Amino acid sequence: MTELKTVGQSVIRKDVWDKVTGEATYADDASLPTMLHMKMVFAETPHARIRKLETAAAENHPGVVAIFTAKDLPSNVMGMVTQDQQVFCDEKVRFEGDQVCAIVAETAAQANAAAKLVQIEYDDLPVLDSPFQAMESGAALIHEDKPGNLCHQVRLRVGDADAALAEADVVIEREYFTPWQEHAYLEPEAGLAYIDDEGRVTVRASGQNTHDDLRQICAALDLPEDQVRVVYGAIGGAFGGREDVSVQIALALAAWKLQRPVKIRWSREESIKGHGKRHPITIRHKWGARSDGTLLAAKTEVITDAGAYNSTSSEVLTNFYYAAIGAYQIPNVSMDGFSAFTNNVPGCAFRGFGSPQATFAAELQIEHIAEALNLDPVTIRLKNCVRDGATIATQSEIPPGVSLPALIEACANELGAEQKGNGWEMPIVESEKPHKRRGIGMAAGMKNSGFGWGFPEGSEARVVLHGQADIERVELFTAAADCGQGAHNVLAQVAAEALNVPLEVVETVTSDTATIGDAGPASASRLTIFAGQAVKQAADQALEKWHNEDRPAVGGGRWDAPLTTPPDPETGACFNSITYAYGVQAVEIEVDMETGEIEILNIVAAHDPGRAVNPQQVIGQLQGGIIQAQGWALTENFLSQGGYVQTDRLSTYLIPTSLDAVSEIKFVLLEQPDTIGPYGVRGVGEIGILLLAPALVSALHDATGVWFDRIPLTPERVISGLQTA
Amino acid sequence: MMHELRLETPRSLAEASRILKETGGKVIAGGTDVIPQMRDGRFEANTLIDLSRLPDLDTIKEEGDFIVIGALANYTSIRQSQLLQETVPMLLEVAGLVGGLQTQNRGTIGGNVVNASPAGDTLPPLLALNAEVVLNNSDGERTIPLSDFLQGPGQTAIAPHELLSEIRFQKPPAGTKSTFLRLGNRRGMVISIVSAATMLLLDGGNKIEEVRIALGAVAPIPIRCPEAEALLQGQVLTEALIEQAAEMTVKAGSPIDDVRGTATYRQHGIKVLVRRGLLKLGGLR
Repeated sequence: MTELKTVGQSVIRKDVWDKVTGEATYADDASLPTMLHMKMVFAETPHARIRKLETAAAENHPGVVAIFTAKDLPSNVMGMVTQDQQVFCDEKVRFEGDQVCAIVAETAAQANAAAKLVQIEYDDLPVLDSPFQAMESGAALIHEDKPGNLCHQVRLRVGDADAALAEADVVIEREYFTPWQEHAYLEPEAGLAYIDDEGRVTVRASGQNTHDDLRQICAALDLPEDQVRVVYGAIGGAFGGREDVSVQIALALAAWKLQRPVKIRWSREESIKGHGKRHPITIRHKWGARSDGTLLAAKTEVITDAGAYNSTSSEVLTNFYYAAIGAYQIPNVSMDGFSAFTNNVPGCAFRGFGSPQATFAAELQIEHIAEALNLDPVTIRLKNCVRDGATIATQSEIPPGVSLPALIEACANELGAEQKGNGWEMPIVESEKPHKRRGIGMAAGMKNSGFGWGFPEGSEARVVLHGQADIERVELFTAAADCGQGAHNVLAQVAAEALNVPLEVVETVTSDTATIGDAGPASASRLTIFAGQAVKQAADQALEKWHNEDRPAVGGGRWDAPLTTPPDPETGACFNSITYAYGVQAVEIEVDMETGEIEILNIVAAHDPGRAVNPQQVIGQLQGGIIQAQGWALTENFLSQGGYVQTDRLSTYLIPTSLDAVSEIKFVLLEQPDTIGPYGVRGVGEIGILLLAPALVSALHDATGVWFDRIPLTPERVISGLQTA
Repeated sequence: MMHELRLETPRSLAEASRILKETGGKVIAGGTDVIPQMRDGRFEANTLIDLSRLPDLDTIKEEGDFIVIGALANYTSIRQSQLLQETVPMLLEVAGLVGGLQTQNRGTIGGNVVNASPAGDTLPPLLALNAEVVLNNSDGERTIPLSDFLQGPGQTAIAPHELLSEIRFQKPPAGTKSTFLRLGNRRGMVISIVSAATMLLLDGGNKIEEVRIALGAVAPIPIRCPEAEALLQGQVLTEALIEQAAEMTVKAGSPIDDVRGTATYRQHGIKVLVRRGLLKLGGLR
């Protein structure tokens, strides 16, 4: 491989100084003269028909300029995959975070006070707060056109799972459950809308794809795309939770109708109640293996809580076609998945997109089979994991360059496991304290990058080269959303490398629909690969024109990814993804047998970024994923009762603090270049969050001899489990 | 939410008392409870009376046999107090566990007492110390035991125009050991699921001269465990006796289920914390 100059360097991100010093302008930091303030009125009841919406008292409140309701929208629908959600509800509400109307006033205090004067009269409907309840025959319908409250269904059949299970030497049948997870991004939903110099309705908010927001605003307001503009400033985290629009349409509507700037900022409580969550998922597995550990069959049922609207529930369930059986080769698979509407907060995209839940259950199945056959965790994984040439559950060959076997060995070696005879000897760890025990657990996984499943995918970018004899200045235009992951810097590094210029001369012009086309969302571990290829293509084209004496030299356009195919409805067969990320993690814990508290002592994380464009940022992404997984697995206990969220603030929904976060992670980065991304990169945004939860459960079993089937492993759940075992 | 508010910043206790009487305003010290309550609209007041500029109410000092902690002493100053470290180390332990550093710099012990949360972390140690609170109004002052002051969740014996100025307790006899332990769902910035303050004074041998046990977050107000204390008093400290006492403390509480934990886990936690506290103070573990 040729020597790379900028790609592979841990250069310091351009945005960090502003972020550390507080100069960065997040959505709420932008203000304009004559600006008005918006307050959203939420349903505050989980399932009801709206009998009457009375806004007169609010309208008469001092300072109130306008109240926007359903009747103000040319097309009162939204939704990223299916348009099943009203922007402002006028018939019924389906969860407590549904939006009913928006108050606009001269001050935020006036808008808030007026919001309290809005009276909504409801006829309550039965509240369905679990997918099992929702799927019972005779259950009330949350969407009248969705019989059985079925949001989505998947069916996969490979070989003959029943016959293979009958012949298996060992069969493990268990049920697992993983809960909601709140994204808990630092920046709550906020935005400013105004009319720009060219008369466009402009929304400056935080999202994951400017162009998705643009399309939804245009559809709801029935405006052509050249009359609407979406701009992102600094974004305070997203993790999937900003893929759906939140405040964007209401803001655009108000600024458009009033021709004045309008601002909104949700409180933390509004944010937690008002945006989607990681789906709660129940997974029932029945897996069979031969006595030597070879997996023969998996029979699986997956039930997900879609919440009140589809959001991306159908797509998250679709990912189970490949993800349900983890990163393993199983010749006979029968999988049925159901996603049911409930009156809970919608399930939406969240780092991993179904894979953390699927990996949790699959990795624990592997552990149970290993235990039943007295095999070690390394051997059973090496025996069954995907490799080059393997056929996965969608009956397609896995794309070449599968680094999982190498990562399993690398993780085991770093952990101190030793290959002996036919197996691996794991380190034995013991606590010095009488009331504490130590244990080690391991997990392996894979995550598709990009959407796949037949969805056409690509990305746009433009590169402009300025100068005369030499390239003196480079403008890189991209709409790729930098939600904090560092996308802009990495894309600049790709451009600098392709152009053979110093990084300092590359200026990024980012996330403005007025200047550049769609890069696709910051999701599915995809930007460095897909937007990266678009940037490289644009840079290569610009350089060619530069050599043809174009001044300035402009290159760019859309890069289209190789196609995937949609799943066959009967069997799930398809070519679902062009590229995967792989990872293996091991964790050592100490558990207090009297209180149930778990302390993570250290973690080994072996990952393959293909090519680390910026190794420090790769580590940052993996660390972030690991700590977010720690929260999901140990402390984040999202509670909802009868459709009402109980943990709507960060004092009751407990994300890890700096005192909690694991302090020691040993990273092993194997760089085995992939064939899709520029310079061989793979996506690393999500793989880090897949593995810690099952590894912790295995470590807890190693320490105590007790298996757990659900998370979070709160001290109370651990004690309860130890006492009943 | 936010409405028109007048901010008063009295420079003496007398002035503060006068303003309180005149305005019936809401008293604020560090603001770590009042500001969130204000954001939630949980009280209505036209005036905030900021005590943070009152002189001398943040001192921690000895007065004869007593230790006096000014109501405005914040957790950081408690955490750094030489006097408390030598006499009541559990107060340093508590102060280091409350919130994060910012909260420790702002939050005051007086605020924690007046807020009267069942889970207020300074309350079990102060109860174990038989602390008294000094209450002032424009006419004078009165001193009542903390155990009488605390009346229910968020409910105290403070009269409408009274201010809490001091918390005082007898200096424990030399050789008294104390510790504060708690269970939480994470390590930092967390409200206790259950907490326990234990104090122990042994004679030259292993006989208990004085023992006190107080629990937090297991009843409407933090409580003492008189029966367990009576069981231990005068006895030789053994692991078996500790087990018996710990078992007894469970009956002292009447915990509830909430988002932090169930009553069952709280009962389990009481036993574990009391046992651990006594074992630690007795040098048995």
